[in-house]
Amino acid sequence: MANIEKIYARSSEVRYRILEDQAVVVRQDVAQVFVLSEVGARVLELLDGKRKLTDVRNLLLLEYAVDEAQLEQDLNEYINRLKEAGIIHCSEDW
Amino acid sequence: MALETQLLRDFCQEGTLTFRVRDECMTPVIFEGENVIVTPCRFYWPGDILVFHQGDACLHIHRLIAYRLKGRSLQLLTRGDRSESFDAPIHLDQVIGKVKAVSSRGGRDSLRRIWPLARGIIDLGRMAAHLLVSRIRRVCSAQNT
Amino acid sequence: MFGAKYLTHPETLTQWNTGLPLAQATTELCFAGDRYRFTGLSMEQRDLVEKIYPSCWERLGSEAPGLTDVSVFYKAESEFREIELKGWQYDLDIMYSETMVQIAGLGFAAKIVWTPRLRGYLWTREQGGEAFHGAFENFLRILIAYRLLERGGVLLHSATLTTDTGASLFIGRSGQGKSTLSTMALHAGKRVLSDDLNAVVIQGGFPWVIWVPFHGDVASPFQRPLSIPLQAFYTLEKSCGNEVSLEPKTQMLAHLISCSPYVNLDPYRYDRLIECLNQMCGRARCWRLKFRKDDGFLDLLAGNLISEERRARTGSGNISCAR
Repeated sequence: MANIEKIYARSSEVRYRILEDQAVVVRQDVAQVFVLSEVGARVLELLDGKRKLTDVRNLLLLEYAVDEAQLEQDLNEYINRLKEAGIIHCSEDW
Repeated sequence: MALETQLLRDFCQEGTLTFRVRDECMTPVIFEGENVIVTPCRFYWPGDILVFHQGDACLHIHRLIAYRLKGRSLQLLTRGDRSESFDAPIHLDQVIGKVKAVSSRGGRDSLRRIWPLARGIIDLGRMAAHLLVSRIRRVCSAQNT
Repeated sequence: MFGAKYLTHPETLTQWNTGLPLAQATTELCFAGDRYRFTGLSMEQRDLVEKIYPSCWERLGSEAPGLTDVSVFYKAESEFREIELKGWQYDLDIMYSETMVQIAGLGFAAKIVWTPRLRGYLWTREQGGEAFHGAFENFLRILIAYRLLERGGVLLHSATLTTDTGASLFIGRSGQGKSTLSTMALHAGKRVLSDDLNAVVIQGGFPWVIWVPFHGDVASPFQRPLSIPLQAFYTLEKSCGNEVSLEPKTQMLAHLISCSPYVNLDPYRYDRLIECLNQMCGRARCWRLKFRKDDGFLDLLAGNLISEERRARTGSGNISCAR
């Protein structure tokens, strides 16, 4: 479960580009390609290594029509998926 | 209905279309009386809220839950957030577009973008990073025998 | 350490800036609107190269062909590791930096440098035969990929079918059906440019597919025209039916990155790659083709092309066709 007080950042080997609201993400270290949805792309943009997850959550609450509990649950799940894919890492793991 | 769907999709492509919601099946994301701004897309992600027809006289606004392959055709499974059961499966050509944002009727509320379920990663797998001359493999396999 | 798999002293590779050529023979190859001049070859090496790579060149647009110089040097057997080939998985060792790409492989090492013009250096122990051909072609593919990138083009792992009016390019990694599709198309009398690697270059704002001498299982000798306008990209999927549907541009871009070998792992030129591919996606239609092992998909592709032309004329929306 992702801790809401932690800071996450994109992995240094990751390159991404946002096109038509979606994101193409490339992990050059293991030669893998991903496509993220519009919301996924926005979340990835916000994970800049400076914001806590709680700040990311608050920003998303302002931008999207969703209740807090749903957003927090989805965000946790999404962060874990991005971590499993090696696209982001937690600041404590640096 | 196919012609009307095509016409609505064409109008969407020229700009966006706005529909007024007349039901409560998508609360609390979209309330009755609110306007939704719809845009067509080439690909719809599970979690997107779609505007589509089902052969009856009105348009439906429900959430895309999943894709299903039945025989050779791809079906979309949709359901209202407050509904207990799925809608009858639809096909892509029944979809007008997806809800991009919601605007409250009256007042000066800002547009709220739609938050889909968090399923938004497609892993396309490994890249063709190095393509080696196949004859080298033949040389290797010849030497292996 | 970089190169340790193939070189006995990999730490010395950075100091390999010149060397002893095997002989003084020179040859010039022309591909995709560019010239590549190789010096330091033996007569045997030169004859082998000229036999395998026919010099075929068409001027592309008004741009004068560039010349890329490659110096070939002989390096003693002792500089390269002996590798037990049984059950061995061949791969290249590549190290990227801002001004140079270093490559180490079976029996060879190479550098591609920008100082400031693109230039190549190849050191090999192989004096001829299949082993030299393998080392030479592995290096040549990478060199062409980088030269194309400089010009706003890309080498794509793909199969290309052409008609009189244009080309359809089928993207896919190994095993996704490019050779199967190419073989079926050839048997049906269609023209296949290559089933393995194709060059795509932006000329006059539009993408063109250009013949390069690299093929997989389907060998197609060059035939004029060597360059043809690209009409559509297709991603491939083997299926139990034939179907064409739209592929979202973002996903097509992701597939194109995935199928741009040699340069897609280079962090220093990644932005350039994205820029080129993005431009190509914007100028060609993007489709997904599901096909089964009959040639029914060929009629579907032909029908798709006619529907596209009609839609372009009437301005109507996007429809997926299924059979």
